[in-house]
Amino acid sequence: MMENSKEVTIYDIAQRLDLSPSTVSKALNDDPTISKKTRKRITETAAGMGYRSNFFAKNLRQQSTLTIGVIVHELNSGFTTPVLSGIEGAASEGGYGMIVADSAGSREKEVDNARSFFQRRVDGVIAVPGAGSLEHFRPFTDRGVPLVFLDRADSFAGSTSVVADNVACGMMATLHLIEQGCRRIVHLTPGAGDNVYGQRYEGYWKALARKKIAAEKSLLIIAEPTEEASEAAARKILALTPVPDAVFAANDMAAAVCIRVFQERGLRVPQDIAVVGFGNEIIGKLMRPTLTTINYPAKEMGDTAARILINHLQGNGEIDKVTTTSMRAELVVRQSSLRKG
Amino acid sequence: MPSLKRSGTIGVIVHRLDSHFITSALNGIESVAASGGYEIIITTSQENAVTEASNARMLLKRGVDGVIASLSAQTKGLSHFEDFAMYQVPIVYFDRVAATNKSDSVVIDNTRCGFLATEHLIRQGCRRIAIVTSNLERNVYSQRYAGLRSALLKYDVPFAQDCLIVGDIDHEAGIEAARRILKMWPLPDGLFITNDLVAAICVNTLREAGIRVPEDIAVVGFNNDPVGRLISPMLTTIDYNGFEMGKAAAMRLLNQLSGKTVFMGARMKVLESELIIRGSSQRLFG
Repeated sequence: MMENSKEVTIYDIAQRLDLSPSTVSKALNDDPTISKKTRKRITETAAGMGYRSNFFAKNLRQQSTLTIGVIVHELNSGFTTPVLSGIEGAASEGGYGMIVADSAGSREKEVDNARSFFQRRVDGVIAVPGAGSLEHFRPFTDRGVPLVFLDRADSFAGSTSVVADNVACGMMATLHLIEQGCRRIVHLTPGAGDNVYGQRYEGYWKALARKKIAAEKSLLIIAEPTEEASEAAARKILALTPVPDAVFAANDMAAAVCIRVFQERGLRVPQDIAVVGFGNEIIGKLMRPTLTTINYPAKEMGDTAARILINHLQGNGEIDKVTTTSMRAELVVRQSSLRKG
Repeated sequence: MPSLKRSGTIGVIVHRLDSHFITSALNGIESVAASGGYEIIITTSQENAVTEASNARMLLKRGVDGVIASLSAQTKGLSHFEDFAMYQVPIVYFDRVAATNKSDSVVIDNTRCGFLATEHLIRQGCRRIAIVTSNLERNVYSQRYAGLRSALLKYDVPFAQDCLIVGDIDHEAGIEAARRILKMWPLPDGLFITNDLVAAICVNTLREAGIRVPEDIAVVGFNNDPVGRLISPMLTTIDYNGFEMGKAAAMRLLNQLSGKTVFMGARMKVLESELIIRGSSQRLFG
């Protein structure tokens, strides 16, 4: 048998007892959902097989088993990809593994992911949550598992948040367009609810108010950030009367698709219609005209969140003492919005 | 052999996350896994073999029921996956697979794609064709290169050694490739770049240096990444459907897990792919 030459794993124990590996794992971690009797049977079998109970101990040996669990709201978004890159870099540097669960935009899935990570014992959690209550994350902090939220400022004891000022982002983009002489500015976004999109919309609205331009309902266009939906939105924009003179899109891909449609219809960007995107994706530098955008610090946010967790886990900084970290975004001006220079 | 009961999770190992192909594949995997009642946990190696090995260990220790994996650029051999076989955890590989694989794999016919891309450039009149690709120890790149060489041979077009340009697939790689190309004498008149993002960045850099695409250099990319449709001229490319590949890989894994299919040796499923011709390679003849 394997025990003598290799480290005994939960698989070996599960096989011996004809139970599922997750049951064994829970028992070894004293999870109360497993009956005391079963827990005892499992731990005794484990001990008898030479299972090293400090498998989950925080003191590392050669191979780190510490894991940061990341729950993302949407896997393919211009935000998620750089965030994960930031987390992964810091985690790797610190000797931590990273596992990612995708909520696919669904609150139900997010709750399931939280439960699943809790049961599977991750050492720290970074979450980009959707809107609504965060109660399903409380089991982590109750058990002392450090937790960092991204793009949400809510937090409770044992957790902290890393955010960027999304209202300021919306204002920056819109004020820039107004300064370039635009007056009829469309905001194209996947939503305007209680989340970062809603905050950017608030910024857009505030900028208009500050410059005494009346906001119009018809200039808020909601569309999924897919190629098809962005194309449809672009056509909708061109059907407005009078035709708008600017578009502030919630992500660079949507902005790029809009520009393509405008150009196909013979409009010049920025002269006939100026465009600002969001996210500073690589496409912005490759397209013509090059795309003005907001450089949202997604990668830095991921990196910061991971470092906060790792510091806490290494005993170098209690997460409760970390106040909400707010990071800055900037406007990157390129050709697509420069009418006045 | 005793059967282990489900923990209900599938572990996924991908080589990077900043790729439209990979995120499409993950969507495909998720859609099938969800309907089979499985949760997915995703790990990324960031093209690093050591990270890939520790991700594999991490997933094994977490008790995953099965694994779907695409190898990192650095990975040599599959010894870091051997433990899965020992514990009867099935693995299905996709996209970047190992040559000597004893598992299920889902791929496209990379060699044929390389052939089609090159044949197209030859038909557009190209006679000095360069390839910009990545680590030739990875099947996807070595096979595309083999396809190029095979097309050149068939049409009796010579291949010069300076026409093989190997680099990474990050943003820098596109700029680096363009710099190398600009130093070539004579300049190539055709380029096969095995990644659309690298191609888009390379073309951008060449154009900034005054090169006209496709008039001076005709270009074919690979992956049918949305980026290729948002630049001008639009990028000729090979369609590589990540969503379908993810679904196919997940289906094969689920069939093994449910006992519908019994694993009896390596099997490779080859998906369709095609050349999509756009402006970057269509040259004007007088």
